[in-house]
Amino acid sequence: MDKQEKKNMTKASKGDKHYLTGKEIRAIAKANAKEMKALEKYKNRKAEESEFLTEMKDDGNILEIDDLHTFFYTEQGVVKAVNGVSYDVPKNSVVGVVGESGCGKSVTSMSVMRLIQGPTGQIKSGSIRFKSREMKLDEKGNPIPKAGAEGEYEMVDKIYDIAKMPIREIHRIRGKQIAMIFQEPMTSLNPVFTIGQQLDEVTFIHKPGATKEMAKAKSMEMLDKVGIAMPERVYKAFPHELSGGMRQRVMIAMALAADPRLIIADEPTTALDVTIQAQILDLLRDLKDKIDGSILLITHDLGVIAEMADYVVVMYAGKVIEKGTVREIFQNPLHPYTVGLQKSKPTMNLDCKTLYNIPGNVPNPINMPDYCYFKERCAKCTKKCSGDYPEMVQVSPTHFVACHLYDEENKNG
Amino acid sequence: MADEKVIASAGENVAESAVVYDDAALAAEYQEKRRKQIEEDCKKPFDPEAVLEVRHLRKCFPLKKTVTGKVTQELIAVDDVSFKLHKGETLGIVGESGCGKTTMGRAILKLHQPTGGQIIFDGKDITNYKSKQMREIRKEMQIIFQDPYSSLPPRSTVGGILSEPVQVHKIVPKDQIKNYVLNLMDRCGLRDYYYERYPHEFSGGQRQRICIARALSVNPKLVICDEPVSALDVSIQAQIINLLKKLQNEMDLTYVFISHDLSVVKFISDKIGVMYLGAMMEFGTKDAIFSNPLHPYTQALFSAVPNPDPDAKMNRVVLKGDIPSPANPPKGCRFHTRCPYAKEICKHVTPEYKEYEPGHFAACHKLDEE
Repeated sequence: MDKQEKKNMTKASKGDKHYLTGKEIRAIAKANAKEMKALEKYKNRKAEESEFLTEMKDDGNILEIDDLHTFFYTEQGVVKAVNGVSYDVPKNSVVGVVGESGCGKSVTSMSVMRLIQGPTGQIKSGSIRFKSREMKLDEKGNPIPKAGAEGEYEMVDKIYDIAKMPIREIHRIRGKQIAMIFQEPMTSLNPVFTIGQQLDEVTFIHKPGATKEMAKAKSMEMLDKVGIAMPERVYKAFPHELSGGMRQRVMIAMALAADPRLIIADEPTTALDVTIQAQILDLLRDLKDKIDGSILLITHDLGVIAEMADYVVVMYAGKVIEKGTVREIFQNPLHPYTVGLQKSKPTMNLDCKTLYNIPGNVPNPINMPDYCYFKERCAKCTKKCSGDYPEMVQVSPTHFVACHLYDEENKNG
Repeated sequence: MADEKVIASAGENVAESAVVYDDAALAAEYQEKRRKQIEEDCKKPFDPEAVLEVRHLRKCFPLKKTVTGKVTQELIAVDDVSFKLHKGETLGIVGESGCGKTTMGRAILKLHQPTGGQIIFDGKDITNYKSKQMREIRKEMQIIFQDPYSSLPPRSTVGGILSEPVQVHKIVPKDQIKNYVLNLMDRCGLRDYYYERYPHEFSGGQRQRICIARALSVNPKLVICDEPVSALDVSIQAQIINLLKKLQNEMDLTYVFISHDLSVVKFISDKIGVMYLGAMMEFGTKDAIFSNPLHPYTQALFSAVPNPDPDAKMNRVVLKGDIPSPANPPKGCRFHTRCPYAKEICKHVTPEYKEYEPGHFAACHKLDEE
């Protein structure tokens, strides 16, 4: 009896999960190696500037991500971490990207910075257009001073396709035009250098010809800007001497030091306490008005998004499922996942017996189904959901949703 | 002499600059008063209805020792925490990191031997129980840890993990263990063919279900949930919270729910305790605390929670500065370095933890004035 039971159980478990044979693993490795080699070669090539200069679709945007695919070639198969993501970051605005862990929101931002760990992780296709502001150069490659203003130079807008840029050219943008604030402030600061040394380094790298005094003055200004009370003391301190909130302020100061046009904040407050989180959010909101740039805020906390963002992008399993302005997403959420996400988060004003929950789990990223990825967890799914993956449907000028419920034919019928 | 002046100032609100505080004398007086209070309270009879009663719990960790082993500096992780918990109730403990909420949970289970105070579980004073005596009590009180990835043994199957406590504590006869475990798995939302699987094959939410099943396998009366949902995604969080609530109704469990997420605590708790730097700042029923928070720290904590409504009007109290080091807490009221209402008296005199409304305790000088 017992043996029979055990047999049934193993049978059931085999049906539920697929184990790879040695043959399959070797086949995967071979295919991966070929792909990775080609992509690595493309990444490390030498190229003329004209090859990766492009045009913006909309001039009001600072960043346009268009049909981006970032894959990880693992031993179990290809993980499509970012699978056709498109969204824009308009000038002087905050765009919030929200989703659960593993939905590809961080990988998208890492792709923008070209920080995907190769050779396993590669940008497969798509384009990332970024409007960069650089010094205008004359024929000899020297900056042209601006008439009437000393120490300032003529500026020019250049539009790069980051996805097509060879990795050796990325220094034009990374850190200088696009800065990043990471989640874990302790691991992103170097423990053996003082805060001052690390902040000065930013100026030395991005402003050639800067003197020590200039760098220090800039660093002090930045520390002051992020609300550190005793900049002189923090300047001389080592990272371990500071608290979590202070470290995150230093990270923000470091991101601001090169006057970037776009700041990517990847879960900037997740590792912090509620009261410190409130401080950092206050600071970011304050800086938003002071700096001439945009913020791309990545978080899983809907409350943070509602407070900070102008536009919201909701991601699920490597795809954008809904995007729109913050009011559209919070007051009129359309995709069942967005609705479920908002309902399942207990809020301070909520009063009910049980929480709404989305059943099940995110599908396995290696064997993604052809139909809508949310079908198995969706309460509203129809016959049509077993068909192709739904297209993005425009609901209002700024509101898009990828769900069969809002297809044109459905509306008519 | 100095003491009299202070007491006068507290009562009549004399001009603050006129008062001279003698910190050493105040500290000595406070210690003496507290010692008497603790002695008195510990002699009181036990409440027969309470499942768990904690009286003046204190836990210190030594930081520095001399060669002879004498402790010269210590960290007071939990300082003078008292509360009562009845059957079927949930106590939510909130506070920032480093405020001693986890240490308190572990001290209740005697995973840390308390330095002072009393823990009364089910009418028995278990504070000084030896480990052999504790073994009998262990099956009555269980814990669910925060990180489901590191709290499951990687080399045993789910079946093994769940049947071990049943075997050790002899909950059911040997031949019924398997049925008992399968029944338990079903109740916790785990399918029966998971029995033969290993923890690494599961996602975070499923692992947390296994942890919950393991804690409940011995039919405990009290379960300490130490941040059970903070490592999980929002949609999975809701599943686990609902499961905990369902099981509480079915098995008549009493929870101590430790979390830093106020909205989760509000959803699940009947009573709430707010901790700051090791001490209980405010304690009361959920409705009392949320409709009428007395302590300035509680008010600040509530207003710091981001509201997922873009049009909500914010009237936020943002606390200045960081949480001070628990190894060297501020004199007087612990919170005075960050308190927006701090006065001179707060820097010197430790406020008393008192009952301001029936069942609603707080420790703040501001409340005495009103």
